[in-house]
Amino acid sequence: MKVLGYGLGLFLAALLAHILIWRLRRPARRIRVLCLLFPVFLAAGLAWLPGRFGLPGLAPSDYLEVILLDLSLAAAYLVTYPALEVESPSMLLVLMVGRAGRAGLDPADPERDLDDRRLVEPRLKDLERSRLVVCRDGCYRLTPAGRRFVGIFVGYRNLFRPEGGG
Amino acid sequence: MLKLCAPIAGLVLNALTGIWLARRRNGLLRSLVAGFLAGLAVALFLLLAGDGSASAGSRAAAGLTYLALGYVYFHFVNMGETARRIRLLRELLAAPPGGFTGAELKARYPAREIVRRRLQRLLNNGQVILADGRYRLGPRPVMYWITLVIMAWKRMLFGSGWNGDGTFERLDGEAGNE
Repeated sequence: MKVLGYGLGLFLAALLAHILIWRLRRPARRIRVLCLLFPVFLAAGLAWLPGRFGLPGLAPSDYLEVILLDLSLAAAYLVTYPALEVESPSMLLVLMVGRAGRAGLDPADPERDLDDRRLVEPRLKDLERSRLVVCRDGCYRLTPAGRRFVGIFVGYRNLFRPEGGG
Repeated sequence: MLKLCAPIAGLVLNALTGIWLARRRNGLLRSLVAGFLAGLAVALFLLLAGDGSASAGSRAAAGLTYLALGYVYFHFVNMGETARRIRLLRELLAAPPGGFTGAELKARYPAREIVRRRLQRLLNNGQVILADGRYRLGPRPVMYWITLVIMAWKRMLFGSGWNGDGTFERLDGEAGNE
């Protein structure tokens, strides 16, 4: 039970710190801060807590299990986090339909309300801010980092293609 | 040691099964779900049949680890298929040396297409139904429930910045969404 306790406990402690920090003063580089927050809490917790304050000690193999559990949960949260910051089109759509209630939603409404300005332009700005894309003379181009980043997804996507990609 | 290996072995089998099934022309979602279940079965087998010294808590921790890793993997593959950022980057990867103007990019990937594809997916999955010419929630609107949870989490994290209608204006223009 101690592996589960330490792994979940340290993850939840970092999550609580994340909520408090975001409510008090949202960092400028939020993803970067989040990526640091979970490992820092994990390292500090494992260095400081086992065997103290009436908590059980951990065997060397337990440490590895706790680290794997905590970092897996942190990764799951990190991949979900962008959906909290940006507008997910599917979520917007389902929300529009849900809010329309029994009367239902006119099929023309989504296309009218969700236009390029709302769905495409903010994503382009994000790409520029993340330095994956650069805009020069009115033209968007990939940066070397953008090329590497998208290459990972394209390469992996090709593995799923029956013809082997391309 | 088996407790540590079980989630990793499950994840590897998950990925291999998903790729193998998808290449045999099964649908991507079906392949990913089958891969996830195959990985879960292997992880559970290793946990239950292997190390007899493992406690229930330790097995639960390893099971939870597999679920988290499986979720991350599903998200990674799904991002490559549906994320707008990745789609825009893919368009630019195929662009001529001069790149694309904003208008050209929007013409290649218009909001209209984004909305249509997602609506079709919601209809196909039964999350939304089209009856009497109006969209309504399906009988088990899991996606809607997930959205409500995410909205509540957003409100908790961002407080007053949340404007309550599914948009989050205050974050626009802030740096940091790396």
